[in-house]
Amino acid sequence: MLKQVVLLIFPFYCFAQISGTVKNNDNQPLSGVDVLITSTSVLIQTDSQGNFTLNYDIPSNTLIYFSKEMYEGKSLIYKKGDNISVQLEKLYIDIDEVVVSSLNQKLSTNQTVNIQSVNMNQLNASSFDLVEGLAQISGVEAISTGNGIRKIVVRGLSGTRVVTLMNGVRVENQQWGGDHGIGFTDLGIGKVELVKGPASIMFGADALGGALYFSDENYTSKKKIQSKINSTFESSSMRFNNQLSLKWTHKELKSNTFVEYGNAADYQLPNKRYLFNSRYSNLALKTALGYNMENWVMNLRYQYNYNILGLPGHSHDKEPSIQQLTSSSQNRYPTRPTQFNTQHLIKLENKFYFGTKTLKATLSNSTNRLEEFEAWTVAEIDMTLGSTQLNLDYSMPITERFKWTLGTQAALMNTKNKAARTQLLPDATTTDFGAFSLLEYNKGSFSSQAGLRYDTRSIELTNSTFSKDFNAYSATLGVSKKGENQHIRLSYSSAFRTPHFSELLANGVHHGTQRYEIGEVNLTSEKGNQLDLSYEWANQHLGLIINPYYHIITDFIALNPLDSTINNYPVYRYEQEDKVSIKGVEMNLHFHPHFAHQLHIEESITLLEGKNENNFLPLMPANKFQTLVKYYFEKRQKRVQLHHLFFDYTYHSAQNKVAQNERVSEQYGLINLGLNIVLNNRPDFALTLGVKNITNKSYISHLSRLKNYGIPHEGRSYFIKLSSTI
Amino acid sequence: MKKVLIVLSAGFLFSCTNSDDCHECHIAWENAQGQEIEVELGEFCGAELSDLESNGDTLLEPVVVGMDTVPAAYYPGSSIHCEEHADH
Repeated sequence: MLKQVVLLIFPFYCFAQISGTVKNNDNQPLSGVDVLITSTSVLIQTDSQGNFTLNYDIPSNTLIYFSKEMYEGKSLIYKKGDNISVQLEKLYIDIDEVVVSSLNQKLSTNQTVNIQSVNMNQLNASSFDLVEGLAQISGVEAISTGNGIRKIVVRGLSGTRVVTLMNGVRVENQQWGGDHGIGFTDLGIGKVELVKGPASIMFGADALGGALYFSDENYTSKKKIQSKINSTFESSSMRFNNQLSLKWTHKELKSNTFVEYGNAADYQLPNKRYLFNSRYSNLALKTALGYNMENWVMNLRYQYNYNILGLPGHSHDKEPSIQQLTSSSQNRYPTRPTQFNTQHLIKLENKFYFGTKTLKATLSNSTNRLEEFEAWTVAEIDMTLGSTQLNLDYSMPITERFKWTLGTQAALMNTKNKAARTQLLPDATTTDFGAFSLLEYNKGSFSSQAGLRYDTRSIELTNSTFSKDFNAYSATLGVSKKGENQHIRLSYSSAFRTPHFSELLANGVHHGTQRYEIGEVNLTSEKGNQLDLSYEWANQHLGLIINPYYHIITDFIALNPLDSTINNYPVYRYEQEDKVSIKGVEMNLHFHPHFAHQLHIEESITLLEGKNENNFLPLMPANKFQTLVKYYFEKRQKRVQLHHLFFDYTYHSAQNKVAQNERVSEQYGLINLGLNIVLNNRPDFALTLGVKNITNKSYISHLSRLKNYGIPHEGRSYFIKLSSTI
Repeated sequence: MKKVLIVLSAGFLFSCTNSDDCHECHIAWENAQGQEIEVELGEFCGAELSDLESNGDTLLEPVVVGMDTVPAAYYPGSSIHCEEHADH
């Protein structure tokens, strides 16, 4: 019956078939190669003969991307009736692996802006949290409030200066608050792309520091339901996290569903005591339904996240001791103060293919409810942020080498307060509209791009006559040239961020940050301009990337402490600085010695400095040096196979370049160790065992919000990660 | 193997809930030195807890706590603290 209903709703007009073969340099068939149909987000794997088949047609001019670990990725443009045959070359160094961007469907070799793409399964094996994993990337750090609340910092900027997108939709999760985390986990996410620096041309207002673009896992091409679990356990916080995924497809109709539950108790400090109320839990559901015809691709996606987050470091004393904030016993049940964060996000995406032209229309709606409780039954803050967004993109080739993309983005956001003790922000409506034009040129190994965008934003209070309008132009210009062993990119980009109405109108206690915040109604937009140069060189055994940048921001909005208190809370006021600059360099080195092909050594270095005219900027990450050593074991004919051993060492230098009234931070180095095990007869099974902070080092990150209390991060922690089909 | 994994997943999923909704409460009063002085009110549950946290409480007579005297007065909900603290 279900089948008949499905067939009635989604008639299958096309019964074409796409097939092909993938081989290696020696013309031998390659099995297990990922074949990604980018237009429909379907992933196929080649069989033992190197063959793959898809039993329905896809839009002509679809980019198909072939990849396999330790092989150089390859792509081709599909034309109807093509006989697909691809050869992949062995690759030892994958320092800047060729990938297809979900942002603009371009190969990374043709990108003129600095977009770093990371598959979720590539993130550091000793990371248990999405943000913690992303913070392993050079130029990226995390602001943390214990383990439960983490915010991404890109090149020293965070909060409303970094835009987060989920499958192309802006995630509006009240990121204005210093204690408001990212709000979702890695559930069902296949890839994240990171734009470092101004990115307003693609994403509009607020993308001043950069953008994080998350893309869901691809659909399967297999008819049988594919089910998989991912489980993790970590000893320091006795944290467990379980994810279950179900994937199913029937011809052009595809479906993915994911569920997750995780729970962490108070984490253990190096001195064996526990940080009181660092406990948290998360519940999540994500589902996607996809359908395509020859010239049309549709995706309907929904996700739900519910987080209960303890707020550690709470005391009624002005200067509590660390003894007052820690316990001798560990507990996981919610206490107070606690944040409850509920997020719903629904999105409908339609892509229409007219020959070589593409029209993409995306409509989405999200709600985010943030409740902060210090009492058990009465909320301190209870706010809901609703957001409706409509995006339209039209791209067309003008000539063989020129491509033109036009687009508009519109958004309506409503902030509403519910009954609570405090109303930190008033009810308000924010309306955005932006339009952009992007021209791309590609000739062989040379690419360039130029773009211009205009945005308007209007903020109106619901119960007052207060309103404010902002408008700004943004631009981008970039060139990229790829040689045999080297690749160079140079880009200029600009962006703007309008003041959030918390910065304009705040006047009250923000319990999450334990401070009294005062807004300034005359703030204007921040404007950022960045120059970014990236040079890559690689041969078979050594790869190197050097990426210096210089970012100037005018009318920078800072939250500065005043020398006063209100109701025992320190008073902070939003103020505007004429000009600040952030400069830095990121370097990556990948060494794969000829004499030991099983050994991979990766080094990454992040150096950064943020200054205004007289002082350093607050909350600028310390310089970071990371070393990752991986040893891959020889394949044996045994059921249990040791796959690889990893050792990573991260050193953060002391941060003495601090703002007025900001504390300096000491240097620290952390060592993690792990072993990955697979089963030869079950390719989808993987077990990782390891230890984090193996020396039980007591350390405090410069970006920890608990730094001023002298509370260190967690001590030594043992972990297990299990991934398996069921 | 498959059954073990399913049982483990089911066991972990939704395994932690808290049914305890009774809490020890006190009036928090700040003395001249800025220290918080507590006047214990006892344990409150359900509707009583909600009423106390919403509407506060009135001390009909001054209460001596150590060297301090907490004055007889009305104390609003924001002065009533029922949250737990670390066990030090």
